[in-house]
Amino acid sequence: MRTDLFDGEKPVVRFDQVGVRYGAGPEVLRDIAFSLEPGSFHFLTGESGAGKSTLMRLIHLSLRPTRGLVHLFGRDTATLPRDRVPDLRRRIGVVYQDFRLLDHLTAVDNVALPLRVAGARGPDVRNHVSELLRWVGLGERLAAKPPTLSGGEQQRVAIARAVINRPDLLLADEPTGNVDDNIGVRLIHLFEELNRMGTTVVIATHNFGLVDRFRYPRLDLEDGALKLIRTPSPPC
Amino acid sequence: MLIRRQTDIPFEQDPAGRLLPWIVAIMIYLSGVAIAGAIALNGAVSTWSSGLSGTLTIQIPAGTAFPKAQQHADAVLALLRKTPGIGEARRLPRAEVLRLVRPWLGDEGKGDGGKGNGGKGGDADAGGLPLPILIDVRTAAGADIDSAALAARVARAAPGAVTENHARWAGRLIGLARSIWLVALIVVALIGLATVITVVFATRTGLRIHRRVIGLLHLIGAHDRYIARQFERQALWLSLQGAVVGVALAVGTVFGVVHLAGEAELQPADAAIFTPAQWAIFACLPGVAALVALLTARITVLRTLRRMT
Repeated sequence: MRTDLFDGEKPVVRFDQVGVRYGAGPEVLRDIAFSLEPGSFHFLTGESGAGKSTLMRLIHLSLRPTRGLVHLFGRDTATLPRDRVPDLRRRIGVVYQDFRLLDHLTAVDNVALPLRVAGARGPDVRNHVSELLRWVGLGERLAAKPPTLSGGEQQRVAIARAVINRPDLLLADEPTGNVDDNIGVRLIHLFEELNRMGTTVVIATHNFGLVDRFRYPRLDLEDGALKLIRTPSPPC
Repeated sequence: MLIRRQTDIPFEQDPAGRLLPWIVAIMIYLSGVAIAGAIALNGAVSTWSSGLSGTLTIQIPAGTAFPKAQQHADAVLALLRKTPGIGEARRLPRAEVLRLVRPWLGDEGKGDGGKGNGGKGGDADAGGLPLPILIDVRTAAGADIDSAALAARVARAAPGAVTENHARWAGRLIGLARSIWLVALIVVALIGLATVITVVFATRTGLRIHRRVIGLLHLIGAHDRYIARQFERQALWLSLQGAVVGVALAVGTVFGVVHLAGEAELQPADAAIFTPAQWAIFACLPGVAALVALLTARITVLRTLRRMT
């Protein structure tokens, strides 16, 4: 269900000369300037500690820049009232590197969480969630709780939770880190399917095999600076 | 059903939440006992007050030192019958006067009454002590008697006579009862305040313990109200459980005290303890406690979350 998605044709994300430092330390990100157009698909690459997670947190409004401007869905996040932040976050699906599942909830309840938070209730929610979990290969683990799931299974639950409400923007931090290549490819296909329906996708990854295989543009972080690397031709 | 109606926040891991029902039970028990005491006192004062208001007692000294006591009593009765606003005036029979002084004198005056006064009741000796003549006066309904003026006229008709206005005593009793009622209200208010502080503490503890889950809910797009609702429901449920136990214990205590009072013949065995309206106060206590807990949790969560981010 997509509503008033892109506020015209404004970029989904736009950074203007953004810098971030933690405390009195050096800038971990500096002069970051880029924009993500609606419906685009990007890999975010860089060595460990290059600032990929920090960049993701800035986009997800869980971190404020030390300087510069971050625009999200055409809105300046610096002037965004606190009570409007949740509405923007509901338009973003995030797959965290550490999954961040709730251990006391079943796989179904974890995946249904964004829908519940948005006020959705009833059997349709259950069916929708169960269907998605079957699609990611967890049809037999619907009632399992995260501590009883393997790392790969937890990752797929986290991915299902991020995409369950068909977000306008999907941020995935190492989403294929704990799964084998076949599942990894399958998950990227899931993201591509969402992308075809209009979701803007950013995947932070170390897996250059996948990056080479899918040939989407790369946002590469090096020494706190960002550069865009375009590939000759995206896959069909 | 796979999706159960459960909280996103794992409150069962929360030690403060486990204690809350017990604390609320104790608070509500104390409130219930305080309210019961205040209601009982109010009822007793109403009874005394209605028994004493509109009554006067005139005491005319008798015995060998007052040979004209009989004439004085007749004069006072005649005066009272002519006084507007007096509904009834009657001289108490000797037996009744003896009954009144029996707690102090025992049965000593029973056998020798009338020896020194020609057998006329009321002014007889009791164990050698002269008994006064007592006149019980009841004012007419709605009449406003100037008791000081009446006492002066009685004193002129019967020198040495004393007029006791019971309304004065009733007024003091009512004043005392109101003070105790006020103290009971303050006690209930303080218990309510203590309950609020307890809920605030338990809620803040819960917010600290579940900080990670709350952070995740925020990242998923939960408004503060969504998180506050979960704490509200938890506080409501825990307080309701505690309050029901507290009220049950308070009502049990009331019945126990009433039973003991009945055994001590302080009140008739078949007397109603409270009116239906007064029982309704007890019935409302759990609901009030739960509502207070709900609102306290809501305000605490909303204020704390606003400060956290």
